[in-house]
Amino acid sequence: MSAATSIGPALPAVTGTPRRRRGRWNVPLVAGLTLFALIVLCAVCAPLLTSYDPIKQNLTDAFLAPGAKGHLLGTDAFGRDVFSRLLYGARVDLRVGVLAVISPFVIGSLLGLIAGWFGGWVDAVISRIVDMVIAFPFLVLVIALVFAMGPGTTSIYTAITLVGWVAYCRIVRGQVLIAKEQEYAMAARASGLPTWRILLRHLLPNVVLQAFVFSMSDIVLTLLAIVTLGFLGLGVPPPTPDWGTMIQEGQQFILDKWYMSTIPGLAVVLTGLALALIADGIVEKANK
Amino acid sequence: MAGNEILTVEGLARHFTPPVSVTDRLFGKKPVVNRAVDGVDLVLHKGETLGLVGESGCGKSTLARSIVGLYGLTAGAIRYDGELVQAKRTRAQRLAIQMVFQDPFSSLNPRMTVEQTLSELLRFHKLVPRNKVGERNRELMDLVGLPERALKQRPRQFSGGQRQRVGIARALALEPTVLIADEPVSALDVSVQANIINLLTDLQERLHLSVIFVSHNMAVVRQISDRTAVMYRGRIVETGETETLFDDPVHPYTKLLISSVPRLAEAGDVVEPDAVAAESGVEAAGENPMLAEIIGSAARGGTSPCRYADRCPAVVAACAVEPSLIVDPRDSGRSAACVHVAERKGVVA
Amino acid sequence: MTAPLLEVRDLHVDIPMPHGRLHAVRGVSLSVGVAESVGLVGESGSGKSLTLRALLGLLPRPARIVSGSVLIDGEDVTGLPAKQLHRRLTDTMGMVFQDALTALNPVMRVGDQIAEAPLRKLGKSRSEAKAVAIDLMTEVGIPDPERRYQLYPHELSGGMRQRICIAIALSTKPRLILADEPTTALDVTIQAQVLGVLRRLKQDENVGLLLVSHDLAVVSQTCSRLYVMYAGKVVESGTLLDLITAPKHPYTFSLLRSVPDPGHRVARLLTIHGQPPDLTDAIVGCSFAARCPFAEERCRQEEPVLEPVGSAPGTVIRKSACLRVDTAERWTAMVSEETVGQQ
Repeated sequence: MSAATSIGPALPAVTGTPRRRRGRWNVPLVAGLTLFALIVLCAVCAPLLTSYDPIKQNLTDAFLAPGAKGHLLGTDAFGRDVFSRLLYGARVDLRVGVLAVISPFVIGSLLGLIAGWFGGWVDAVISRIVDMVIAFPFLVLVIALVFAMGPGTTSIYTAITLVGWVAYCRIVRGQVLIAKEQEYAMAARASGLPTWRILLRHLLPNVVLQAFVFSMSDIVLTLLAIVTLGFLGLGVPPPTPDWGTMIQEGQQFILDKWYMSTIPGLAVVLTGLALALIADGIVEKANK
Repeated sequence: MAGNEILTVEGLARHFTPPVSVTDRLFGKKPVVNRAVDGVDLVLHKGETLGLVGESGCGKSTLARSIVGLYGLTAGAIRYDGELVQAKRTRAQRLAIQMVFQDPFSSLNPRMTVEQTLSELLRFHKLVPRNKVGERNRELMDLVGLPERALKQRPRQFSGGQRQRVGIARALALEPTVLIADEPVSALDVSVQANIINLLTDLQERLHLSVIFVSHNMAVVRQISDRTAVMYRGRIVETGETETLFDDPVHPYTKLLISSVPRLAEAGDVVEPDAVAAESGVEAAGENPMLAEIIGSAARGGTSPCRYADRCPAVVAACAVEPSLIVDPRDSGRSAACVHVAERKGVVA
Repeated sequence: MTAPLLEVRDLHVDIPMPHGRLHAVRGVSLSVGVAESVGLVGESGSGKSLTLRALLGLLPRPARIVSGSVLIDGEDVTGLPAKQLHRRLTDTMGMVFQDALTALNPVMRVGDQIAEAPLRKLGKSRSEAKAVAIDLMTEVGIPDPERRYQLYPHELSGGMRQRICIAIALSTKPRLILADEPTTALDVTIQAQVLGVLRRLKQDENVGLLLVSHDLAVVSQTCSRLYVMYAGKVVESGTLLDLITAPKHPYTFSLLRSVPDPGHRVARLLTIHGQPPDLTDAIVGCSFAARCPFAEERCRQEEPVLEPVGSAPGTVIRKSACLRVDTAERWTAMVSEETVGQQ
């Protein structure tokens, strides 16, 4: 008998997934991306949306209420237009926030991948370093490092990278420990693929999702860290507009001029919301 | 059959040592070594299917993974086509011995389409010229009975049986001569198992594969394999032609195993397996005076007793020394690790 | 004729899903007589476990009973107030699960777990309850019960744990044991022992058994009557002997020829193509039609009803839900022709 003919009729119907209807909207992802795009658009188009210079002081027009003299959101203690500071501040904060998350994300994920896969002394060394860094509160360590290197954006990036990678390393390492026991990882090894290829092509795409979701909330945490640094005079140097500095400057007038702190605070919340929605949407999409 | 061996396993052992914490090490605490595979001799002939059966924890999966090279060997050696397989395998050896995994839901990379999975292997190992990759992918799909459009799909879009076909295609992409199938149907629904069993039988004939079929399911092993090896606590206790092994088992453990398998009983003819008799043996182990005696004499002589002695209904003084596989005097194709084998001389079945 | 111990009529169970309702049990009716052993056979997703769980109100969330009635000794108990109903059901039936380890309380001595019901429900004293527990342990074949009474679940082997579960199920003095794949997680040698225990219960204690399994051989070792389920429905029922020697439904027929038998090797196993239907969709026609080797056009349009097929009066009623049941005698020949045709 020939095997071919007997296999022929055994052709099972490839049904696709019967239990899942496709083409449904991924609501959180669409909403998150729309909101985030709007915020980025505001930052990019800041010069078109406002004619005021965000750092130009005009002490005669200080503390104007929203709407007065064409200042949409009023002016601050130095008479600078709050609306244009908000827009230009988005440029600074988004850039610093995103950039300060990328390098910890990359470095932490790679080290986590290596620690989880190879185990043994490699894992022991990396994990002990992680434990040591985690033993200190995040902010205390960042402040100490920035203080040592001197204020400025470069110091902020470096300090946050040196401290922030441990979270990604732990997340990815844990995921790798699970994934490497999965049979697909064994199958890749059994088919003679080199280690770097198994790590980057087979494991990384399956373990990086959790780290990515964390990075979304990490951007917001980083923004808050920058605010705190600004409060201590170690942050983005004035007079460059940034939401953290605006919140801090406004807080002394919180009782009669509540909008001075509240509005930049709202901007931080909205950005956080957009990123959280994106994270949710990506998880949903990946699990589909 | 001499000279016909494609794969030989000699005294293979694979032990696992759990990590011991620093404090325990300070107090001189030794880790308990898990002897998952503890001295296995096995021969696979060209073009045959060898069934490897045993209960959970007997080490059959560890043995399979060691043969494929996923685990290093604690002791022993593997020969492929007469040549010793070194710890670092040659490319040809690595490709020649391939594996089909048990769980069709975790054995495929969820993020890769079937086409990506197969093409990666074909390209990386340069098994076909670049422009022939697509053609070879389609050939592989045809070989395992999947439609061409399956190439564009990801694992989650398949049923369990279909995934297992993809898993087989992935192994076959590397053009192996030896296929190790580790419980390939036990995660599948009963109505789907026959599909995969028949497919493996067909492929084995068509591609002249030599197959080691690992399973806990005695019925499936009887259906698919030419020869069968029975494993118990890390060792092979009996091997032989499948038909004779099932119809006339020699080792007491094989007897128990085969009599325990539920069969479709015709009503009123419910078989009370020997298992029930043997079970009292398990529980009364400590009370068997012969068992205590051989444990004592093994301790005095510095030997290890037969690993089945504590469950065996036929323990004798000679069991104090663990027997290796002894060839059945009536049937040279068969051997069992039991002192009673030699007594079979002259007995005609 | 006396009423059966347990009767289920037209049971429907739904599972709400994000994209619709999964109609998992689609009108199952079955009965178990006093001290009778009945098997419920089907593959995963056939609704067999849900049917069993629905009987004791143990459906996993979010599954729920849509309709159906349960009769005990011929009395419809479905209308009783919730508390009374629960009491009535648990007094009649005890349940044994697949995974004995998770079914037991890990931090309580196994003996105390058996003694709990006699102590709290049957109002026995502490020492009486312990005596009852030890008797039950002896009954399910646990050697040295006094010592094992004091142990915790993790200190026992898988087979011993399942025996403890059976003893717990028996501790309320039920008249029927429901067992959901009780031996699937066990090794074959242990499985044989546990099946022996279940068999002895029926013989010695007159306790009925409703056993759910995907394995026809396991069921055939313990049960005298079977229901075969497919896609949420009973497709065939009858005595064990009738079903395995002369199946009257193509699913039973195919299953018997596709599962290898440990007793002998066949030239080629019969393959059942495709997979069970999606139970979130309405099924038009026979649910097995797409996979059936004997299906014809009308099978895809008309829905077959579970109907009695040629039984002699006075015997157990044989039922099948197949439109082509009249051709059953020729099925074996038809399948071998087809195989020959392929070759």
